[in-house]
Amino acid sequence: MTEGWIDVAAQADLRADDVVAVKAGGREIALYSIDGEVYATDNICTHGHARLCDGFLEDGEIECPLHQGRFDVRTGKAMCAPLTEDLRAFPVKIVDARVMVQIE
Amino acid sequence: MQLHVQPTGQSIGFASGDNLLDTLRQASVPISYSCSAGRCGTCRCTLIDGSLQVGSEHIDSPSQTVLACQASLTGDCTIAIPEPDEIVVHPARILKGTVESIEAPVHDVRIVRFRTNRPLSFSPGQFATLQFGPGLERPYSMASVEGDNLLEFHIRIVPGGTVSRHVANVLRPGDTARIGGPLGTSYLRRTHDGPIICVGGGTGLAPVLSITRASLEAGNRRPVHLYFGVRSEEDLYGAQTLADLQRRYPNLLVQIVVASGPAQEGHRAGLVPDAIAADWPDARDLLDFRGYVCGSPPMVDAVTAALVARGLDPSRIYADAFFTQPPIATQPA
Repeated sequence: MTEGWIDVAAQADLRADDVVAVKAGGREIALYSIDGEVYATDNICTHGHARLCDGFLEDGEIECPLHQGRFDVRTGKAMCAPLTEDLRAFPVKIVDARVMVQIE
Repeated sequence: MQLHVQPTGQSIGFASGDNLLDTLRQASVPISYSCSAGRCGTCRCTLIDGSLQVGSEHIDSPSQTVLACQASLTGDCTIAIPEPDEIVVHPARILKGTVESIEAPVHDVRIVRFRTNRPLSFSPGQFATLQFGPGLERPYSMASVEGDNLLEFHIRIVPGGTVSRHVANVLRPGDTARIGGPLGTSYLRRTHDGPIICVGGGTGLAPVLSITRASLEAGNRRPVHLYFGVRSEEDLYGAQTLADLQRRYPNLLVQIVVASGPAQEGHRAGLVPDAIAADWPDARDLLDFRGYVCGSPPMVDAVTAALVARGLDPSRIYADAFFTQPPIATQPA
């Protein structure tokens, strides 16, 4: 693989409008499937150390299950209190029905 | 600085400002926790000596209960953790639930079953918050057990209740709700092998069913004494479910207690505390028992007093009283 692209999942394994966690590049990545598009962010909330794959995905935002902070899954932007730090978002591409994430 | 933990005897070094729950978990102290947000109560522990900081509050009175997830360590202290042999750890989750069915077994109860996008890990007897829309959120106990295909809740229709009105008049199969949890400390203690007494009033039957099924279906032979209190025969629901369980499990003993009006054959007339007093006449009859009680606050108080009067240790009675208004959730800093 060049430029740090890692094969993390089959696109078919992602449920529509839902989030799953995968391990890649030594970290946990949350994968979101929204209207046929796939997005990837870090899976650990920047605030309370919760796993975002246990959170609630709605309108392109993931809500942390611990303190109800929300991030835009497309950009990782923190949308509301108590969040103060954005989430890292990763580039995603689909190659032969596989989900590739660029970690580095 | 050192944190001393009873009854395990561990001593753990920490830096001032460290979170108590994080410190305990990093040192592999057997502590239960769930929401990590000061709501579920699972990680409660007792301050024995020294002091802790909870938000802006300085806690230094011995035997005060604190939630470990909300407490910061500021100096040497000693804490006691409850039930180190009975550890319950469920990650807090928010699930998307789709209503599969709504049953109205009696006029003011709805049995609502949800299919969820992911499984909810919980202990029998715990509850979750159901949110049907903005401002339409209330806690309800799971009547199902982990591993069931559907999550089941028993919802009492309360006159004037906004969530009630929504469930009774608007909610339909196919609608979705957010289900957050699990919460609550009134869960089945699995390490205890002696007899248990489970008491549910009204829709307090839900957690009682979960606890009873979990105990029986695990193959445990401990006697389960289930008391189900209802206002009148017209308010009785779930009797068939209880009868089916009783047929399958001879160690289950069900008492249906009807508070007012005539009681059908096989049912008891009167109040649950009186039925308990009649069934267990001696002050030491319930010494080795564990008790689980769920119902309105006055019912929980009266039943707890009746159990204690028959020898049940108050610290072995696990009760979640439910309220018609949602409990105020403490907002974490």
